[in-house]
Amino acid sequence: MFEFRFSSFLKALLLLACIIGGCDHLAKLDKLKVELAELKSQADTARETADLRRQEWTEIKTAKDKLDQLEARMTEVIRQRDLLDTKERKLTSEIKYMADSMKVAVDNTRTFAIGTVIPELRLPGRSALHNAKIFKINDDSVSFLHEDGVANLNVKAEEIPTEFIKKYDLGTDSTISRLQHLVSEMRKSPLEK
Amino acid sequence: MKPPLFFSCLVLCLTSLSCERHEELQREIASLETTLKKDEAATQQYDKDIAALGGKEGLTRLLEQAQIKADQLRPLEFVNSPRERKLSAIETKFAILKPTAEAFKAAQPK
Repeated sequence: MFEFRFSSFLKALLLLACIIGGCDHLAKLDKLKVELAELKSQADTARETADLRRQEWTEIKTAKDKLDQLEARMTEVIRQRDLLDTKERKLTSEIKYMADSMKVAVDNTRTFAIGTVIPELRLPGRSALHNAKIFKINDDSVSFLHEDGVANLNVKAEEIPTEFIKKYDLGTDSTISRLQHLVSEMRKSPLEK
Repeated sequence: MKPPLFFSCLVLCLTSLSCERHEELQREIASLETTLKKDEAATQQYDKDIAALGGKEGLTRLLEQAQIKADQLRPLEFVNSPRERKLSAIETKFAILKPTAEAFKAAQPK
């Protein structure tokens, strides 16, 4: 015959409570595992999206930086060009003024020399001219009237004394011709040889 | 060991182990949530930055503008350097000629 014993009832109750508690706990664990799996999936997606955005941003930023650098270079190059424009205008005007005033001075000096008589003109490599009177001065020659006739002395043939070359600015290496050469060089394009 | 005592010990052990597992899972979930939030925040920040730079369509526009600028810049740079060399050379020659010319002008008959 079944005999009710309090301790047996208590044991059964305890066992039941343990089973229910265990089941509940396992259910909670399962729920947490599902939640974790979902979160992992979401986190992976979020990371991929963030990586993708970072890549896009890097590409755009690189292009923007490149454009900014080009714009800065452009500004600098334009500034240099403006400075060169100013320098060129100033230099052109200075050289042109100097060439023009030098031309006037050379013409004036040569005109003033016409009629000058040199009692004895010693020449390199030939006999001296006596009572040589200057009657014409060109860029590369001086003509004299002297006791024995007319003498046309040329710079190229090295017939004229050095002091004449300097005094009347004669020859291809004269200051006026070099200044005129600079004026023509200023007009040339920098890319021309 | 008496059966009730053994049983009680077993229950306590199981409870302790399961609680540990539970906590570990919760920690993992918390850590993942933090990472997720960080990545979402980063994505939002990148979206803002991309929008500030002209949006995704801006990349093509920026590349085109950079190409145009580079094309404009090349001939300017190409001309500036030889031009500077030319002017410097002329300036040097003129600096040498100038005193001679000034002296000639000063010595001319009045």
